[in-house]
Amino acid sequence: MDSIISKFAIVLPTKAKMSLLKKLFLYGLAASIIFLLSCEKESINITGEVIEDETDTENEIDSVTLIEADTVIFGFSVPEKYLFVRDADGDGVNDTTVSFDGQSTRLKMAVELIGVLKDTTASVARLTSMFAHEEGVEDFLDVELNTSSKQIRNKIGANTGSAVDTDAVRTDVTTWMTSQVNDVFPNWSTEASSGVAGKIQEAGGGANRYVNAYGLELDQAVSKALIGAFVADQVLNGYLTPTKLDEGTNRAEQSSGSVLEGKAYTNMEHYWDEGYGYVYGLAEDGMDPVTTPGSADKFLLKYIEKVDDDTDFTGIASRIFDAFKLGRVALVVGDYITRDEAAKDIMEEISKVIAIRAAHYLKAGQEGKAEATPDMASVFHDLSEGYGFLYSLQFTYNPETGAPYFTRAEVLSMLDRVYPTSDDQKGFWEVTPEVLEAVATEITTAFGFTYENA
Amino acid sequence: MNKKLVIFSVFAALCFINLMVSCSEDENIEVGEADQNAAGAVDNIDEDAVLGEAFTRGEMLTNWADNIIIPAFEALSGDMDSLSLAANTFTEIPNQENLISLKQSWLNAYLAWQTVAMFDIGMAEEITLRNYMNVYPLDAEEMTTTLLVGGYDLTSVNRQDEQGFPALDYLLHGLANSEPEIITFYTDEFDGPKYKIFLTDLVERMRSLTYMVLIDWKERYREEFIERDGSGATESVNSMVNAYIYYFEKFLRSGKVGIPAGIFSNSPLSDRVEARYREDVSKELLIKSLNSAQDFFNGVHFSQEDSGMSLQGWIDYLEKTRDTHHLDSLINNQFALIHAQVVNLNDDLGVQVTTDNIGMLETYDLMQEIVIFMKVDMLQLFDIKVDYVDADGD
Repeated sequence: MDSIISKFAIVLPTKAKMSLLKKLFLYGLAASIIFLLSCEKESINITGEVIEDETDTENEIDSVTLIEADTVIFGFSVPEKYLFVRDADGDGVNDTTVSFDGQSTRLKMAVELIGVLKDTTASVARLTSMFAHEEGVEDFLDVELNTSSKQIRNKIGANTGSAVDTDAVRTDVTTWMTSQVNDVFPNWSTEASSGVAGKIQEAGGGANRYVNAYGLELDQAVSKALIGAFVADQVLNGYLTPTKLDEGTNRAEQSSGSVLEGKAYTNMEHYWDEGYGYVYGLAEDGMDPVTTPGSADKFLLKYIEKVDDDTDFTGIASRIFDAFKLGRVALVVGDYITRDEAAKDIMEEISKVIAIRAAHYLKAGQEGKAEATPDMASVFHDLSEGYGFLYSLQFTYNPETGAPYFTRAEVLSMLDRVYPTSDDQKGFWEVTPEVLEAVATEITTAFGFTYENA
Repeated sequence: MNKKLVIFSVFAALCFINLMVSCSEDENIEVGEADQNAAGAVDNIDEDAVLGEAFTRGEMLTNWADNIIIPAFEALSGDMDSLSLAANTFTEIPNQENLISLKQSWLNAYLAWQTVAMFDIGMAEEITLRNYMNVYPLDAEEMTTTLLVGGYDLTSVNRQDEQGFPALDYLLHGLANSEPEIITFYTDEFDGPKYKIFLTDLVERMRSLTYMVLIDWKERYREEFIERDGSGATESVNSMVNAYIYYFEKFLRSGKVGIPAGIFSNSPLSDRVEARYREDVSKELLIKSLNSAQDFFNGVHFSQEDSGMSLQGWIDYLEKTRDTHHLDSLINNQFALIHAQVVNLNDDLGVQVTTDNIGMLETYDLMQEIVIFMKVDMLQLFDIKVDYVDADGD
């Protein structure tokens, strides 16, 4: 009895986790547990504490014991860290089943790529080669990356479900990088003005920003677009989907515990962990990334932390991490309903992080533009980040509709409004605060938060 | 619950007394209004009634505007006129005597600037006066290019770190190691005229911006400032208190002390001190700035001859009804500790961070305590929300 209580206690400090546990009870257990469920319902109260009722009966204890011995479902508890093991080679020693080196590698490549976008000696050829790295080519300063067979390009927008769209996304990113080299680098010391690319300094002797003729920092566009096109797309539309996780004979292998040759993990476990790796692959402590995120990540994790720092959204970092752990635990024991519910929670929360930052930067640009003496360099920096996050919205996933919160077409149309370039308009130089607020509000409304909170 | 009841009883009693007093003074308070207060306001006590003497935001705003802010801008404006005269004299006859006189005018005006730097509100905020007057470190290299190429636009945000007091500091002290050598920059056959014109343009711009802010205060903004005496986020008291704390945190604590001491970097940065080319006045400017901040807190008139309603007075007033303990004394004591610390620093804070940075770090720590007192305790007491956030960092 006592041991059961303590296992529940680990799972249950918050309401969100509460509901996940309920789902676990509701869907995940065999018929023999229904009796237990009805008892447990009474022992769960809405504040998120587990209160073990004094009147619980002997036969309940019996059934718990039985289940523990039988299916081991109650043998699992969600660990504090993302740490999972099995004795895969039968040597009596547990081996870790978690591996996401490939994701860490790709993220490191992307970090270097972003850095080189501000190196005026870089050529289009060099950036293209980094972007579509081939094993052995000396593209990176970090030599370990050069020997890797991984690349960024083939993971960009890979899960749009449309080869046309995937190609368009890769073209978008390539176009921004090329334009950075051809249009912005030659004007690195030109003073930017409406219609003229160059540098522009933030107020008070602040940072120089390097923008194209329309006020867009192309390196920011690339870097923030990768958060959607590269990271979120791989996680939400790739690895965490049932289509991916249940590929081939994955379920059968999972239930028989068949690991991949020479590895300690099953195919399904590895897919889930690869999704995890795109989010947490550069965390200082990859097993405990909420407590110890470090500062190496420049993509999604960085902005999960930033959103979490906003008191309007505090807790989101833990919710995402906890859902990753819960889904992973459920997957191991073959509880795919709980796995998929956890995946949906991750999809929803990560989509929301992107939306919050998109709206946040558009709002910052709106406020900056509305100043009596606008600090245009700061406005451009905010809007450029906003541009990339807005672009990333096409890679979000709404579990309720089974589609992105905004389609690619909708995203492109919103981008045209915040960054108008048709009819000789000058993009961020000309966009009005009203338009920025309107677009940001469309985003906040779709996600159920307010412009004020953004 | 008990405590609330006690407060309520006291409140009701005092309301009654207040009513009697009011009646005897023949003031027009209606019984109905007092009843209304008593009925609905246990947790929103009308402190005026409790204490019998009024604090009003309007009184504080009036004291700030009439006795502190406008006189401070008047003084700066006067010093700007003197600076302008001295600059013209020097550019007409670039000799050592006129250079020395110009340097003195620069220092006087720089000290006067410390008394207004915290008032980033109204026209000063609108035109971002601070960004054109005192951005340092100066980008001396870029400024020299600008000056020599000519055709510059000093209103551009790109030029904010190439003008103001730091630019004059460089032009008067930093061009070379001795005064005769510095003068040769202005007497040079080819570039001399460019230096002269740039010097004059800088001074003229500082003078006219200062004047613009002063005139706006006198002819327009004073009225608006005092009229906006509500408790909302965009009303004058909230805006001014935020501007004040922001200034203390960002420009006094970090700019003058923290950044040179290396708080935000891997090692001390002696070239980030204020007036780095003059070398021996950064402590003096810091002290002036600290004194001005403390005087503002206490409502001391710019003339130093009297004082009026202030943040200190407001704290004192509120603490009579709340469970806080002499926050105003804590803040004033902390100012005293900072002063005691700062007087022992080197006149050149750049030398201080190089020879004994501990002294600077200790100064920073003492200032940080005031930030906490003000930003946390004081704002809680005043029920004012911080309206600024730290920058993104990328």
